[in-house]
Amino acid sequence: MNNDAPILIIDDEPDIRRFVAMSLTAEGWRVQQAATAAEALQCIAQQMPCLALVDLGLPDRDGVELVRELRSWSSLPVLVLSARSEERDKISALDVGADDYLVKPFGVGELLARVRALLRRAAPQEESPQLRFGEIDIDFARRRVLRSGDEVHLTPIEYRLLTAFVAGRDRVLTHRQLLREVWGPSFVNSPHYLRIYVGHLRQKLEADPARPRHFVTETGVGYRFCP
Amino acid sequence: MGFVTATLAVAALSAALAPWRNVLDAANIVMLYLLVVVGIALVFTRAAAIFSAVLGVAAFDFFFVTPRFSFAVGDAQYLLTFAVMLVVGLILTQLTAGLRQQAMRATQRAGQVTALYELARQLAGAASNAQVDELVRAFAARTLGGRCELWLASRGGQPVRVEDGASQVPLELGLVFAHGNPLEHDDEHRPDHRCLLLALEAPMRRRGVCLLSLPVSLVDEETRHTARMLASLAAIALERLHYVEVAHNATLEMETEKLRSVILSALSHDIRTPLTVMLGLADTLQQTQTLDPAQVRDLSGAIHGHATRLNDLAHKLLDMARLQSGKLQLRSEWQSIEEIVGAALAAVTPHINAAQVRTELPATLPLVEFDAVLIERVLCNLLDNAIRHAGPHASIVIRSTHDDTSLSLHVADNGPGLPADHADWLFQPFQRGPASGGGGVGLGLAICRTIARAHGGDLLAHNAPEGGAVFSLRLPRREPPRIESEGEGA
Repeated sequence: MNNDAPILIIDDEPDIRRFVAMSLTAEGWRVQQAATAAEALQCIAQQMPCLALVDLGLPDRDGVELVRELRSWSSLPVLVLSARSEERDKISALDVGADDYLVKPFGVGELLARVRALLRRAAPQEESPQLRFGEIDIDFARRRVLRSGDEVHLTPIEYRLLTAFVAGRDRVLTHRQLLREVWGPSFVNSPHYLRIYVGHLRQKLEADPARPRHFVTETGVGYRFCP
Repeated sequence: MGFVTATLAVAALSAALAPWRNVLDAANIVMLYLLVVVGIALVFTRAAAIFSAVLGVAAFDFFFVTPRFSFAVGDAQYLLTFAVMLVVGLILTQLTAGLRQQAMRATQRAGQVTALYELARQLAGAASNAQVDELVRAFAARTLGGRCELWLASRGGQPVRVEDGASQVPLELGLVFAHGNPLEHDDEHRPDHRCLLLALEAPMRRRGVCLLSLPVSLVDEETRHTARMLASLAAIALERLHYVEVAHNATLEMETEKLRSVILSALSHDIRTPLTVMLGLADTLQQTQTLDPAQVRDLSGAIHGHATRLNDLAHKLLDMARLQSGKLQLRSEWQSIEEIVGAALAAVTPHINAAQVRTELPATLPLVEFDAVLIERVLCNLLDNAIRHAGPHASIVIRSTHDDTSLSLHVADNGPGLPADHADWLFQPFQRGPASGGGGVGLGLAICRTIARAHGGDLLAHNAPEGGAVFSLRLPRREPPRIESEGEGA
């Protein structure tokens, strides 16, 4: 990843751009700003950013459409900024490929945490055949899951769900995305499967399944896996 | 049927009289034939009676007038007898048939009066225009043997069909509505039917038009009279409903007005206070030269706190507006109770020490259908409330109970419990409990109950016997869809 690549802020409200830009610059990132979708595409044409913050309520274009277009030709990480009234748009944006979202109003701390997580994920990392979180060890090569050293038995679907979570770690995965990936496209409208199996994973892998720390619920949107 | 009977009767009489023809006088034989005519006219149609009169004359001539068994007449006088016999027969037919029709009319009229009375009784109990329409249509079909439509004046002034809201007003109907005079014309949609258009004249105003379509054969003065009665009964019922609605709206408006003034005063306080503080703090911050960094941090922290409170208020107001506008669309999906409780706990964690909340939920709880975002909001609100009222060291327990048709979540705290009169105000918007200490805006429980009811459930509160308040969120439930079990191993 090119460290000089800027973070592109796309929002029509100048004061929001200003405080986001200030806090990102203070952390050492370069920042570019765009007030409209057209301006944003121009910026991207000149220099590829390392991350785009996209407000869903843009004056000239539907934010979801912008995300879809970006996703059609680049894997640029996209963080969606949405007001609460745009809840459906937020899910649509995630479904078409946005990586994460922040609900306005958001605090600077939250913003920086999300930006760091997305950039960390985008950075090339060696594919490790092992993952460790909490008391859990996963050995992907041998398809084995250990909890405090003891083998945990996962059914094939539970294991598939776990690998889907791991592949999308730190990211919001919508219900549709998970259902499609684990069960197949004909299951996208059967969320009860997901509820049951996420429950199973939590029972088997969380210290306190009632208060999950790794398989986190994003209510109304999906789940986030935080190793 | 009448013709067959007439033929048989004349034949039988002729056969019965044959042996007595020398004993009986011709005049008496004529009388007996006329008696048959009266009998036929009483029971059968007019045509059958006329037929029996003619047949009687012929039979009399054939069997009893010399030369017998021929239509030839020996004595020319008999021609007069035949003529008189025929005329008397026809007159009798006419009189008898008229009598019979009158009797039938009287029965029919009595039936219609009974039906009208029954209709008036039912209309008095009708609770909506649609119900009036339904009753009137049933009456027209049953008693008048035709179809009926009610057209009522709409807000725009033009009549609208009650049954389906059609607003394409036929020309004649428009005329009747404008002038109030009844009209009749052939029904262009149904052959042999006539349309009767009657204005629905109520004491205060013309309410609309009643359109009847009846078979031509049934339209007479009697029917017209019944139709007029029908229209005026319907008009009075409609006017009564109109004034019931006016009275109801007036009450509603008064209540809305009262609520609005409560909301406005509460809002102006709840919005202005944090705004005043934020303005003041921002102004103070501008004079940074006299502040040390610790003070700057302090002040901006306070601004942050008040902005958060305002944001919370904005959320609740938006929720309330959305819930009350009636346009709320639930995004109900099969959800796991344990998951939603976990999400709510995670959301309130900044304010609540996790150790204070104990969840006692069995791992085998069934899935329930609800809108996760809204129900999470309800649970967050209940947890927030519990902490606020039971104090910072409160301990909170979340339990569940369920049966075949519902599942309830109970949030219990160990605080002072609810005041004795809580039922009256607890769930009203902008009401704060005596111990709320100024936190919150008093919208929370009103929103929560609205959300619960939108799901077909409810939110109830009571004091636990061992002390502390318990809020119970009840959600309806049905059997969740089956999950295909996966083959083990693989």
